[in-house]
Amino acid sequence: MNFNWNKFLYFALAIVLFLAIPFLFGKYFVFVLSVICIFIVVSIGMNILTGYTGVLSLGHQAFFGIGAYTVAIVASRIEGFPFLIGLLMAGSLSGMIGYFMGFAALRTSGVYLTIATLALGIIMEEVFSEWISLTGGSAGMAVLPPALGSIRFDSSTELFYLISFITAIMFFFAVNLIASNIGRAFVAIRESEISAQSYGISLVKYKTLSFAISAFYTGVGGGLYAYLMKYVAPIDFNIHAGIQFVMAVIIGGLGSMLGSILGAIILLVLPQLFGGIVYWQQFFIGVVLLMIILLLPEGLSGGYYRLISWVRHRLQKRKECV
Amino acid sequence: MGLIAEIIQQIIFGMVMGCIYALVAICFVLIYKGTDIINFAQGELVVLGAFIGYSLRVTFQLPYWLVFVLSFILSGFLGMVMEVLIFRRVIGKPHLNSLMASIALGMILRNAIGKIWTFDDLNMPPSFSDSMLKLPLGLVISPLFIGIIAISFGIMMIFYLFLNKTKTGISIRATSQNMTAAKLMGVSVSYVSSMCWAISAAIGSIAGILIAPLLVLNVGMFIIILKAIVAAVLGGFGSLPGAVLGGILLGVIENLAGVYFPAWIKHVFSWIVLLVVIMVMPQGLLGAKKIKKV
Amino acid sequence: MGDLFRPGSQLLKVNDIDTYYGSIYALKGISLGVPEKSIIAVLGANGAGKTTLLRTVSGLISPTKGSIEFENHRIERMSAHRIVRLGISHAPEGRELFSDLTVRENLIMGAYVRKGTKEIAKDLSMIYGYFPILGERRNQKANTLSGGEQQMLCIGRGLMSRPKLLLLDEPSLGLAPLIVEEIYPIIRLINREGTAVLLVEQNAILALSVASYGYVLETGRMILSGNGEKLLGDEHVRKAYLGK
Repeated sequence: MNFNWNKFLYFALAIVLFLAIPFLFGKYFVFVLSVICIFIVVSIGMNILTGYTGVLSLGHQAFFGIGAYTVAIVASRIEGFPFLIGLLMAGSLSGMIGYFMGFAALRTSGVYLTIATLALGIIMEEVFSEWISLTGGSAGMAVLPPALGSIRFDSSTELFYLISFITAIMFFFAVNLIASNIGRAFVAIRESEISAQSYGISLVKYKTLSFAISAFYTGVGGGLYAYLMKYVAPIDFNIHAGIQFVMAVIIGGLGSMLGSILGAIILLVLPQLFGGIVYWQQFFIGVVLLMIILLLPEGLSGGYYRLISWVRHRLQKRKECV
Repeated sequence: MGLIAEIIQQIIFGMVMGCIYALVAICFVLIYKGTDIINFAQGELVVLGAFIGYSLRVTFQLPYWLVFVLSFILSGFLGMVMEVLIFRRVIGKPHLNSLMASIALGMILRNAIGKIWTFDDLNMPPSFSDSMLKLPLGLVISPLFIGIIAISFGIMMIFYLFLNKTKTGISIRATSQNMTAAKLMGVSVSYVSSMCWAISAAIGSIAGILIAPLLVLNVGMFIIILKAIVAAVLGGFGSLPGAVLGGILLGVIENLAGVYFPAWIKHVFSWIVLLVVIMVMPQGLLGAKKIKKV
Repeated sequence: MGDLFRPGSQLLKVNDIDTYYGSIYALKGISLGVPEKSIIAVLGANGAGKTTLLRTVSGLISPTKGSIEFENHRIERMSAHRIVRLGISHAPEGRELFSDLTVRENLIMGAYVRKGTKEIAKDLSMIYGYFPILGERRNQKANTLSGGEQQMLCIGRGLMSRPKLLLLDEPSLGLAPLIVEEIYPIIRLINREGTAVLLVEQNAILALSVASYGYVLETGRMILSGNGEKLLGDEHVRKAYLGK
């Protein structure tokens, strides 16, 4: 009984501290945290497809963009458009296209599928640039703040609360999804499609589901991004963004929800180290990735993951102590 | 210009671009056949070759034939270095490693090229005259076009002879069919791997130098070159004749699409073709059975 | 097992090797010898490690312990393609033919390490002499041949490098007895013409009908060795491999 009370107090304290962040730290810090949250949502999306189901997606920026533009389009046309519906639309449209891609997944697998995702990404970037009447073309379009009834989430603080709240909910759902039968089906498919089928796992159902959910998450992330940045332009959804997403899940650890968080943080912190000089950052990531692949005995699957697991374990241990 | 003439004109343009796609697709498929690796950095290798050619021509003022030769050798050497340093070491590891390795290499190359040369656009002097000659029916063609097509076919023919008549070529074919058996015949798999990367980079550089005057010489060019992957898939992954067929076909239909659709569709047309091929006919035109697991 | 290393030149000496096949401990302290121009049999049930043994000798796998000597070269760390040049040829389990190449092209690939087109052409005729059916089908693709013909092609291809030692992995596997009866005399003939053979077979009687000496493997260990009489007379061998 005493123990529960303690735990509750700690939990409440954590929430209060969390809510206080905007007041303890400046606007910029809060903004960065919001971006991290968005990246976490995107990472979770990528992880579901790439980490758990084993399909490497090089075009996930397409879903990010679809979600972002969906929000941008409704939130710029209709003042006071409810954000929840906006985000749901973003996720759903994205998810539907993901579902469609999932059907491509049934005809092929492995590298062919990865190349197909690459194609999707390149096509969507062009669509964003050229469908000027809808998307404003390369110049992009402005986004009005998220709304709930008459409330507007305008300031960085309000956006932070909104985004982190949604991120937390989505994280919670993702963890439960992975722990469920659906999550296990995904992993089974990753390990061996043939074995999975012999267990009665329908490839049709689960591959398309994985694509759809992954796209949904990434789409919602895109929608949040649109609200946060208050502006969307095609350049945010090009192949370089897509590669960033891949890097996030690889660096954070494939097939791990906590890894999604780790990857998101690392990916956001990195530019700061390079003073925002993009090409050094990319160069550096490329070199580090190569070193990991070449020097560790099993490359990305071996010692690196043991290292990451160890880091996660320490983080988890600390959580348990609280 | 009448419709027929317009179509023929676009076919001419398409043949030019198609030859380049074909060359790069050959490079891509060669590495796949010889080493089972998907080289996502193929575009960057071609761009690197183009920039090397630019320096040889513009900075060192060398005659173009020498530019081609030196670039071929230099790029071939760089390709071999990349194989030895990077790709030889990923052979035993799970496939995700080789995929990510080529993606990482692409990132490094793109940014290295930008840092060493520039991230801005450069004007690549054409290897043949690019002034348009007038033909009947209002068609135009330039010596550059003819040069590109001629050199491309020349390379393809030499490559064909290389694969079928030389010991190295035969060992590459054997390795791609059955690596274990090839080893037991005395074929050195590392040698095959090095040669595939060297040749791929070398031919790629020629393709880059040829096409750069028609596109803009810029690091971002790699995305255009990446379309050669579509050509490879269209032709049937793992098939070299397929790569040639796929490349030329892709170039032509891409340009024909430009006649009927708005200009920007042409840019993504290849990728739409890719999605269609993958969903409808994944084995491509000249059929390939192997589909690798990630 | 005292008579492991008999006097006379040992072409191949395997000394106390351990080999892992993935994470499976496949060979445990195996030692054997193949004298020049002999036929030596390696017997044992499925999974005993016979194939792993041949793959270790030919260089496809490296042993974690022990050494292998071939004509005074230490080969346990050598890669397969260099071992071929020393004079060992491996006709592997599963045949591993170049399915898209013709019979003739497969055979010519067998001579990859050699130079001298005339000599190679002569050997080609010799192989057609051993296996006339290959001569008939010389321009057919390897994957159109029957099982027996493929096995003949595999052996023929292995001979094209003029090896001093031929590693033969289960030549009778999956073949009808009639076909096997065609192949085995050729194995004897090849040996008479100077090639040593290390023969892996599940069928002990068949193997010992051509081999002068044999080793029996069981789950990675050598449990018995001796000449044909001794092995066929052994209680354990009879129960385990002949009673089958």
